[in-house]
Amino acid sequence: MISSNRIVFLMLAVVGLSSIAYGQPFPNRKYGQEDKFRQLEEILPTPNSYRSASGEPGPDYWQQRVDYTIDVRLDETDNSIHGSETIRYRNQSPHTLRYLWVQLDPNIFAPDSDANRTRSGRIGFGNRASMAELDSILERTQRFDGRCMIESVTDSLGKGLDTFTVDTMMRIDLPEPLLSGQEFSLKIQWSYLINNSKLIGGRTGYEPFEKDGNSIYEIAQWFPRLAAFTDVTGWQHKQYLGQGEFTLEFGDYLVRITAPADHIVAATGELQNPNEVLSDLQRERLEQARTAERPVLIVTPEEAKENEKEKTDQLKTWIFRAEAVRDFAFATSRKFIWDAQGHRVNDNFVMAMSYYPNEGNPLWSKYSTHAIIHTLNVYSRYTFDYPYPVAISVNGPVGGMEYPMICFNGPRPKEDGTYSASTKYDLITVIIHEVGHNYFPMIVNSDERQWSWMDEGLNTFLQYLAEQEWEQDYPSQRGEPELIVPYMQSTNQVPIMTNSDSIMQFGPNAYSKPATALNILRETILGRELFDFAFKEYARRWKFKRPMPADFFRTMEDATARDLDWFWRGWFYTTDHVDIALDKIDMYMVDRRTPDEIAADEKAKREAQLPTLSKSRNKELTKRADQFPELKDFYNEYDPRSVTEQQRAAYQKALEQLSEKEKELLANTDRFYRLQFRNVGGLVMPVIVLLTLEDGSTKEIRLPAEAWRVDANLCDTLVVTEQPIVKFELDPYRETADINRDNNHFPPVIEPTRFQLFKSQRRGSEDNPMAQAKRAKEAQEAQEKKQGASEVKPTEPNSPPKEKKDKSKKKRKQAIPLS
Amino acid sequence: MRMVRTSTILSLMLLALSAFAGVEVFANHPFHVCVGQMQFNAQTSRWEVSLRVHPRDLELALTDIHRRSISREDKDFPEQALDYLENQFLLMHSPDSQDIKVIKSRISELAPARSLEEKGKTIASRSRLEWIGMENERGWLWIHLELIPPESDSSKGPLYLVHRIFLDRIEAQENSVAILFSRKERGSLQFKKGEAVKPFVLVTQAQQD
Repeated sequence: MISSNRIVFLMLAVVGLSSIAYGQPFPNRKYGQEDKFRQLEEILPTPNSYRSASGEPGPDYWQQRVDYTIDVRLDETDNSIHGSETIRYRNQSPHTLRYLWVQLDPNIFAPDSDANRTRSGRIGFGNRASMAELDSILERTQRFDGRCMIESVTDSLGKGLDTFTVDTMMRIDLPEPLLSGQEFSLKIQWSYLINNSKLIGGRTGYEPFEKDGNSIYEIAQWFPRLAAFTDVTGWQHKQYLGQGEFTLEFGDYLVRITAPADHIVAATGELQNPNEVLSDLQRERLEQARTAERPVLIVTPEEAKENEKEKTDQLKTWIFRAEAVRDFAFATSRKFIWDAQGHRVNDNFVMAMSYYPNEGNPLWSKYSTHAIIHTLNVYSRYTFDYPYPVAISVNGPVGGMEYPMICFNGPRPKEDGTYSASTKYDLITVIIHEVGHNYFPMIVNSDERQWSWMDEGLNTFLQYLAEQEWEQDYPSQRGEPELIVPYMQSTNQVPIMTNSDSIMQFGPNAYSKPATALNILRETILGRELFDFAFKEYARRWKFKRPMPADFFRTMEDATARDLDWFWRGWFYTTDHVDIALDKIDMYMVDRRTPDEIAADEKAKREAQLPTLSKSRNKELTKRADQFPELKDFYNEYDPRSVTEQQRAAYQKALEQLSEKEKELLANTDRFYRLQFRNVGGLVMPVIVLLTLEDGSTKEIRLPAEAWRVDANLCDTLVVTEQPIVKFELDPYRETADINRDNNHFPPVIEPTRFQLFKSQRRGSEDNPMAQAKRAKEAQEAQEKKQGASEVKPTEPNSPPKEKKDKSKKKRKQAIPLS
Repeated sequence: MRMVRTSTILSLMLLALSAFAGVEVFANHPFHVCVGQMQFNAQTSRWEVSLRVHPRDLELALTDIHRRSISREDKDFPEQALDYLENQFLLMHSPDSQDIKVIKSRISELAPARSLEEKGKTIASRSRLEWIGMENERGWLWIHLELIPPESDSSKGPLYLVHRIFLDRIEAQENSVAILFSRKERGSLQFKKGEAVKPFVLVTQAQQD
């Protein structure tokens, strides 16, 4: 420790940015700021015997169980579903139930559904609207009614039960109170019309193909499903408004799907009657696929093409059994190509299978099943072994949606069979994402209707990890902190901890932001090893159970010995963003100068300064004291800054009194840099600075976020170096999603905008060299045909457009203004 | 609340015919957000604009408008995209009226870079765009444009930024643009259906129309 009398030896040299504080008389400078490290326990629910303070299920944790036996028929003539189901409901809660709530999700397609009635009434722009918008409005509000028509609800003996429907929820009144531990069986018959996905999209629907008259059906959220009853929400019967997905109870399913006999059916679960629905050849191929090292075609593209040509009136019933799942979905079409490959995830054997029309090729046969297997491998490593017997990816009208063991994915190549790089990566990405949802929320059964981020965010985070193991520099759209910056700059935000149906900017909020936050937590705050242990522990604890946000937050702290309340608070409970500025830099060195040297330096500094304007002009004035020398005295010659003998003696004496250690300290030539950081964005984060020394070498300093724990607006640190530091850069690896990097540098650097960067580099489009090559080849062939070989240049998608014609006149002719 | 009459619906102008139409048809991904940034270049007196869109959304929009398959690899994609964007992203000068309904109606009537005059006075004028280029960023499509401000004297009335990219097609679409008026003056404006026109000023609390 340097004693106070030695402080005088330190010379202060401010080399950086300085701020000036203007004081007021008795300003109120009490704490007056938000405590970013305030503990979350006052917000999180109080731990109890169902959910522990450590974040794991408590000793009395419970959840209900619901088993289904379902018979369903697809009527292709009017695109309708006709079903009959037996539900066995086991009340494993400690409560007595007098009624059950059943989800009727098809009711969202009723013109008067809450979802439709709560849509914004804003139409068009100004006094104009497009035909597309008008068509969709009319379809949704006037022409199509896809509500669930309940034909009967009875007990196991066929006795009718009273029901009451509230939009997408139906209450079934029980004849007797259902006590804890008791079971109740009921039967429901229903039907509904399937939505044409080209007019009304969603998570289910059929896609008609005009050129061959066939359709692909992706059928989901289609049967009356028992709502979840939980220790946290009681009945989870928030209405289905479209954005918030669902949560259900685990159970076993036996589902008999009757469809046209020439259809191929894919579904949650294992096929129970292959002998009845598959040909000998198909069964043989399936058997080969079990041990194959590449996907094996069960239905070839040629067979699917042939199958499209004629329709049959015959029907076939496909029987599927699924255990320990929280839902059931299926897809069916005579257009399906089908490939499969057996795969072992440690001790569990899985058939990875893909179903797609010829329109999906060549992309689908090349990538889909590989992407499924890759997902199972990576996700299982970070969570738990995939427990189900099948994992399926289907191409159809739904862009991307997940159900247990089966998911629907949209991307396809162009009609000419070429595809851009982004279409290819869109497909691989969406398959990884949707297959990945088997883990979150199909097995770790979080409540999507309440908290979208718990499955979308966690899944998108793992998706990023899986993508990065697909190939070097995989173009992941989410996960890297710098990719979230444009969203974090925007002002229309709600916290991640917002109910699913109230989220603004849904994708960035529920997917990208939590995924990025977890990536930052893993890479920058906890480190991979510690994070991975805790994340895996969360997955293990809540596999086949129902976690809530607090269970995740608490587990991640419980397993890491890190107080992360500041992190959850900042990233999940606020809309703060990261903008940390390098505010001020002071440099100190030990001052070994004698009093005379100090005085000389001071004098030199004064003399180096230009005189003020008045002083230089006044110099020529006649001075009275010069005219009358007797006016001058001692003070005219005295220089108060000159060094006195007493000062020299005192200095010498101080030197002589130094101990050997103090003399060593005085000889120190290190530089002491005090760096001050300002928190502009509000979100506290670790502070990472890259220092470039005089000889070009670099040094990195990393301050944990706790550097802000006393003052969330300003923090500082001291850096000691032998050499002068010539450059400072904050967050050099762009790992904190800092939204403004202009204040991250000393000497100052203004980072170019994306526009300036593009213009300076004039990058060309990276898109679809495949199509360009094809066009070039075709053009070359045409040329050769015409006039022999000639050179053909590929097209340049980035070339500026030609002079445009004014089309507004033509458009104005069509205008019929609003009255 | 005043009910909308059937005749009103029927009198809506049909800007584009579509064989694929349907607002929710585009729900192929949950990222219905167009982000961007714009910065004024005093040397050129133009706004330098970068907009990030989901490429499939833009391809589908152009496909619907032109009733033929359009993809970003097509030779005429920049021309088609510019033609579309010019009517979706623009600055509007409206010296005589701050009524958003009036402004909206004038936008539809005015071609890019044109002015509307009444009794010899300019009552509205529109910006125009120039194509600079486009680039892929991990599956996103960045489009770079120069926006040439409306010709009329903007000191004589407010400017409005219109950002309605995909708003008529995707119900959940939300757009935002970070605006660098100067190094110190930065702002962000947000747009969604029914809120496609915002006063072009440095704001912390975005106004709604």
